[in-house]
Amino acid sequence: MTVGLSHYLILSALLFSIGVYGILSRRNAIALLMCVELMLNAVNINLVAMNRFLQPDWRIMTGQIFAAFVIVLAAAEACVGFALVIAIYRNLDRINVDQINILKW
Amino acid sequence: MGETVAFFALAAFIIFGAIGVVTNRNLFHCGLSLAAVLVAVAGLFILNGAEFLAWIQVFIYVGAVLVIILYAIMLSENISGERIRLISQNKGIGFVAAVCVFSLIASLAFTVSGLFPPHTSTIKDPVLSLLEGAKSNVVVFGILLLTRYVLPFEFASVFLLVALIGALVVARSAE
Repeated sequence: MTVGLSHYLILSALLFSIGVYGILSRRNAIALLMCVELMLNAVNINLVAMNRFLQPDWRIMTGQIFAAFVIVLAAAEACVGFALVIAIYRNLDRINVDQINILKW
Repeated sequence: MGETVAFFALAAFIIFGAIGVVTNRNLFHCGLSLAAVLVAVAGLFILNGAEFLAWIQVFIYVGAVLVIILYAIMLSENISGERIRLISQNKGIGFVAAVCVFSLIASLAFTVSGLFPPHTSTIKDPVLSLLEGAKSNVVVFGILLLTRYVLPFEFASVFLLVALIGALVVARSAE
């Protein structure tokens, strides 16, 4: 049995849906951001696997470069997201997203 | 054969690590499970011939993002003065939504992977003339990044600068 494209697609679908479950069931803002990282990684697995299986010339690595930009995006998201978490924590003394309701009017 | 074994071992790591991230009660242990998932994903990248990307994954994700996460966990624990115990709610809704998303993506994946045969165009990609004689993944990555993808590359650097300043402004204390 050889590993094909569909194996990678199924694996990344599993990882993505675990991230969805985490986002819906967790209340802690830091845990939510971790689940976002899981989902971004699922996307990266997809991009790299598609690049390998659908592009016979290994030198055209569009998928890998796209995955690198997704990693850049994830780094920026983590940086800003955790800064927001720290700011909210300092101002409100709470971190559970269902208790942060000052935007509700 | 070796690739199959490696794939399933890494896949088991990824799935169990991800389940650990979403079910662990201790936030710090969640962060450590996330580290296992990220390293295993880097292994998958190597399996797919993306060595440079695997190193980026280890350096940036495991080295930088994960350290930020652990900092955030420790800072928020220090402010509150009590250990954070994670409570999960809406488990049923979350599970149903996750199963729905999984079946949607999986059915799409099976349809799509039959739809697109491997790329067999006879038109030669013009960028290939720049990659003449390039042997390693890193060399090709660098050449592509500074020729065809130079605009997104420059945009990414400006984007990172904006994110850095934004994070400083947001996290700075008021006085």
